[in-house]
Amino acid sequence: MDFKFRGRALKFGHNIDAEQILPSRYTLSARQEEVVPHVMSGADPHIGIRLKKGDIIVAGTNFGCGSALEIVPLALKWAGVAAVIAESFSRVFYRNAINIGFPILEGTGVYAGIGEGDMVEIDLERGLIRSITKMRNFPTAPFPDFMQTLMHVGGLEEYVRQRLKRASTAT
Amino acid sequence: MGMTITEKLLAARAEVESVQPGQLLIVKIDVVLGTDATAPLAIQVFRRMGARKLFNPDQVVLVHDHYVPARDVAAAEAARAVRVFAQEQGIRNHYELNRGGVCHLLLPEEGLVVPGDVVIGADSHTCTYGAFGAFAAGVGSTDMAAAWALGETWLRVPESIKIEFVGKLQPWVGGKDMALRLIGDVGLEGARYKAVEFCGTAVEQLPISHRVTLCNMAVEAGAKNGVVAADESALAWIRPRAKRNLRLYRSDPDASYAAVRTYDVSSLAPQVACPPAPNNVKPVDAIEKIRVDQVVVGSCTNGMIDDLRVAATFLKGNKVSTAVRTIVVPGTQAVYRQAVEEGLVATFLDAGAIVTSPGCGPCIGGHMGVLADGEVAVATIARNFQGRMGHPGSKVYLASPAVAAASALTGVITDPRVVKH
Repeated sequence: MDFKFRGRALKFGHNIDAEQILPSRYTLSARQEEVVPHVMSGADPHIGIRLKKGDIIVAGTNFGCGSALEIVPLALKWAGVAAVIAESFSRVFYRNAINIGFPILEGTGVYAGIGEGDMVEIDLERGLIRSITKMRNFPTAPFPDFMQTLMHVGGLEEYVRQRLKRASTAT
Repeated sequence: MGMTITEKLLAARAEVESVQPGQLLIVKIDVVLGTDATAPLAIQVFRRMGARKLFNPDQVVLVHDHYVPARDVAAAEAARAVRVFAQEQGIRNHYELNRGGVCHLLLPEEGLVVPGDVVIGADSHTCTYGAFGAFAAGVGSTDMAAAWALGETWLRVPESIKIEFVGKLQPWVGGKDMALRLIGDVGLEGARYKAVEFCGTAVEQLPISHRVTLCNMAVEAGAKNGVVAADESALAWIRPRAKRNLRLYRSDPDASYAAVRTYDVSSLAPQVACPPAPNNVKPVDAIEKIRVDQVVVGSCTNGMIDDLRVAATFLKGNKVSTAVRTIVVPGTQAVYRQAVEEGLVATFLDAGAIVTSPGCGPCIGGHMGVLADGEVAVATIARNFQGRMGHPGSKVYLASPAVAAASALTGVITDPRVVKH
C-alpha cells in the first residue's frame, strides 16, 4: 500500500451515506466491472464524467454512514479513488477501509478549506494533508498503533494471513 | 471508578479487570454472524487468508435473509457459496429459508445470543442484540473472515452515552417513536463510535420487542452498540430460549458517561422520519398530507409478533386503501407461524394486505416491494436514505407499525391516535 498520494479533490457533503457511495441495488455484485460505473452515483448522477482515476474524495462529517457492507469502500478502491479525506468517518466505514487497505484520513477543516479540483497531497504515515492549490496544511487525527500495523501490512487480510502462517510454522 | 455495562461486557471477554474508553482490546467472540449479503465475500477473504478451519463452527451463525427466496441468478449463486461453505465447515447454525428469518430476530429467538455475549456480525444492525444484554457491533466481511479464523477481534472501548426514558407512554407510542425522537435530536453522528445505553422507568416497562427497536436503531445515530441491561422481564423472554449460560451485567452507579440525556415520554407523540435520512424526524401530527403508495410492516427493526399484532389491531375488520400496496413481512418463520395461529394473517388478507415470507427484501430495495420513481412508502424499517427501497426518486418515511397500519387504511400518513379501529 502506498502512503503518499497527490490528486485532484472531488468535493462531497456531510453524512455521505453508503447508499450514495454505492446504491444498495448494486451491492450484491462482487464483479468489479459491474460495480465501478455506479460508484458515487447516489451522490451525483453525473459522477461518470466527474470522477477520474487517482482523484481524492474530500467530504464533511460522518462519511460512509449507514450500511456496514465492505463493498462500499471496496467499490471506491476499485473505481480508482486514491483516498478519502473527511472531517470524520462513520465507524464501520473507517474500520472496513483500514481492513481492506483503502487510504482514508480524518482532517480538521478540510471540508471548508479544500475546493473542488484543488490539487491535494496526503501522507498517511506522517498524517499530512496539504492543499497545493491553496498552499495550506490541515491537522489530522493520528491512527492508533494497531491500525498503523494493519496499514503497513496492507490490511487485515494480509495481517491474518501472516499470523496463521507463523502459527503453522511454529507448530 | 465504576464501569458501564458495555465496559464490563468487553472487559470480561478481553479477560481483563477493567477497561477505559479509548482503550484498544483484543476480545474473544461468542457469536460471529454472517448473512447471504456479506458471507460470500468473507468466504473468499477467509480462503485468501490461508485459513482452513473455523475457530469453532458452533460459534459461527450464517443466515440467508437478504435475498431469499433467491431474487435472481446472482443471489442464487451467492447463496450456494454460503451453503457449500457451511457444509464444508460443519456449521450447524446455518439457517436457510425453511427455518430462517431476519437474522437479528432469529438469533435471540433461537437462543443463540444471550446476555453477556460479545457478538460481531457482518451487518450494520447487529447492534440489535444489545436489547438482550449483549455487546454487539456491526463489522465488514474481512473482519468477519478474521474472526472466523481467530475467534477474536479488535475493538476500541467506546465512550458511553446514557439515554434515560422516564414517564408513561401514550397509547400507540413506543420504542420506534423513542428511537426516532432520539435520532432526530442527536443527529446521524450524535452517537458516532459510542455505546448508547438505554435505561429509565419507561424502558423498564417496554416489552422486549420495543427494546429491540431501540437498540437496532442506535446505529442510525452512528453508535457502535446499543444496550439495555437484561432485567426480569427480558429474562422471562430469554431464559426459555437460551442455549448457553447467561452472564448478567449492569452499569455501576458511579460509571462515567460522555453524555446523559433524559426524556419524559409522557408527552411523546408518534414520530416519523421523513426523507432523506433517519434524523429528519417530526411528530406525526406535524406532517402535511402525504399520499402513500406502499406500506411495509416488518424488518429487523419491527418484525416481531408484537409488531404484527399492532398492525392487525388497526387492520382488523377494515380495508386498506386501494391506492396502497400493503406488505407485511413476519420477522421469522416462528413469528409467521404464530401470526397464522393467532389469526393475524387472515386479518391482513381480509384487509387487502399481502403477507410475504420472512426476509430483508423490501427494506434494502432488494425484492418483494421495490419502489418506482416518485413513489412514497411508509415503512417500519430502520433507514430511509435516498434510494434505500428502490429508485433514487422514491421516498421512504420511517414509522412504527401503528403509524404504518393507520396510513395503509387512509392512504395518507396518519396519526394512529385518531383512527377508528
